[in-house]
Amino acid sequence: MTAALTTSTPSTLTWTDWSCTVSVATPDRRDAAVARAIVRSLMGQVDRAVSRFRDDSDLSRVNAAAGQYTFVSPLTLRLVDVALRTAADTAGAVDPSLGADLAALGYDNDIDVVRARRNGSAPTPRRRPWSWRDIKIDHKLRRVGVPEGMRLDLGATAKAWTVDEAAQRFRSYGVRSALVSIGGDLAVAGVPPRDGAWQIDVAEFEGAAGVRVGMSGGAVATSSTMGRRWHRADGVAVHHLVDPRTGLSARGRWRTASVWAPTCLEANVASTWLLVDPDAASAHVAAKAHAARLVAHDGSIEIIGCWPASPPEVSS
Amino acid sequence: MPAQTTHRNLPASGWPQIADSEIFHRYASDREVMALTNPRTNLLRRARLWLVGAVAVGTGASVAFTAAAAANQQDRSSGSSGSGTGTSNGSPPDDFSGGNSNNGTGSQDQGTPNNNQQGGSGFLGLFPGGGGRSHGSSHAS
Repeated sequence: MTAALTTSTPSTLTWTDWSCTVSVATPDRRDAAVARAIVRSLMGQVDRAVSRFRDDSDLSRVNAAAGQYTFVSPLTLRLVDVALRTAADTAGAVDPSLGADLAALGYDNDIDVVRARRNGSAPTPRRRPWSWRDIKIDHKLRRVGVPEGMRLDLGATAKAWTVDEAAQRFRSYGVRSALVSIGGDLAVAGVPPRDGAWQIDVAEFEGAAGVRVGMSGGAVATSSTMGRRWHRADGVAVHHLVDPRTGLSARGRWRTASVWAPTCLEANVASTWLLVDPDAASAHVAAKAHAARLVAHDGSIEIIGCWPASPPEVSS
Repeated sequence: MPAQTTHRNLPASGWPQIADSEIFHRYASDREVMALTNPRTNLLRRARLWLVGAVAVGTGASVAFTAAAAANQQDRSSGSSGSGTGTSNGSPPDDFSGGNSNNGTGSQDQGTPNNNQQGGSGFLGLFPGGGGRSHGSSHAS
């Protein structure tokens, strides 16, 4: 993937990678370059491990060798572990075995390429004799295997894990305070900036109007059916959030979910889950004392937990 | 001893696989048994354990002594050191909408957390954003 780098303020560095905007913000401008180097390095490692769109990634090799075990890197093993744990925690709602369904919907390449062409066929009866539970992981020999016909996709967890891991690494590299955002999934590390809080604009998709919240710690992630959308060959608009029960784009009662949680992984899992299985995910968010802002298809807003009732609005 | 392979058909997924991990376990356990039953290896192993144990005991004693000295010093200098546990429970405060004592009252300070109340990394908060420029943006990509 190409990465274009721009400098917008002395302490914020922004570039593009993984087809999304990546940024780091630090109160101390000297820390920004270090934070950026940490994030870029980590994203490169994760890309080589589990990108669906490069043939030499571990994940592509696992998918290509379906039916057999494939030796993988420790990072890949860890990311598959995270994905399996997430699937178990969400009763399969956030499922890493949906790669074939995404490809059938047309999402078989970088999203910019997918958007530029009409792709994907109308749904056909789905044959899925396995589930995420059939993903095999051999920790001793560091191998992963999937049944024939299954294709892994770790998109629901790998990006958020990368955000959390970057935030962890900041501390060990001496970055005292930083915010990292990959495609709108963000986490903060260290003490807040001098004015006491990180200011976060929360919107349905990049460039849209939204609200501003402050946070002193933790992470915020947003999932939306309004973001990664494209048109199938028959002209029907679809999106990338797949309901494991149908293999089709999820059609829950909310179109966008923004969640605050202690970690970006928890936030992103909850935001995805809320769009796939609203009732179960709502109970989970409330029980975990997370906070969520939900946008229904008619544009109305619902709040779960301690999300600020009337945060200031910000224009696009 | 040559390792024996077994073929196993795992249910519901079409997995005609050699259970390689069984070979690994057998190989590993054979080596372990050989090491334990070899008198010379066993002697070296015992010596190494004694050495590690002695270092651990020495280090532990040193740490304990240092901690005790520090505690005594603190008691003498401050009188009441307190427990120092803070409120690191991983949950946000009940109300982040501004107006409570933790979040300040003035318009400039509304929603600003009191860093002194963090009590460790467990304090995590979300509240109405203030003025000034935003530092980040959460959105679907």
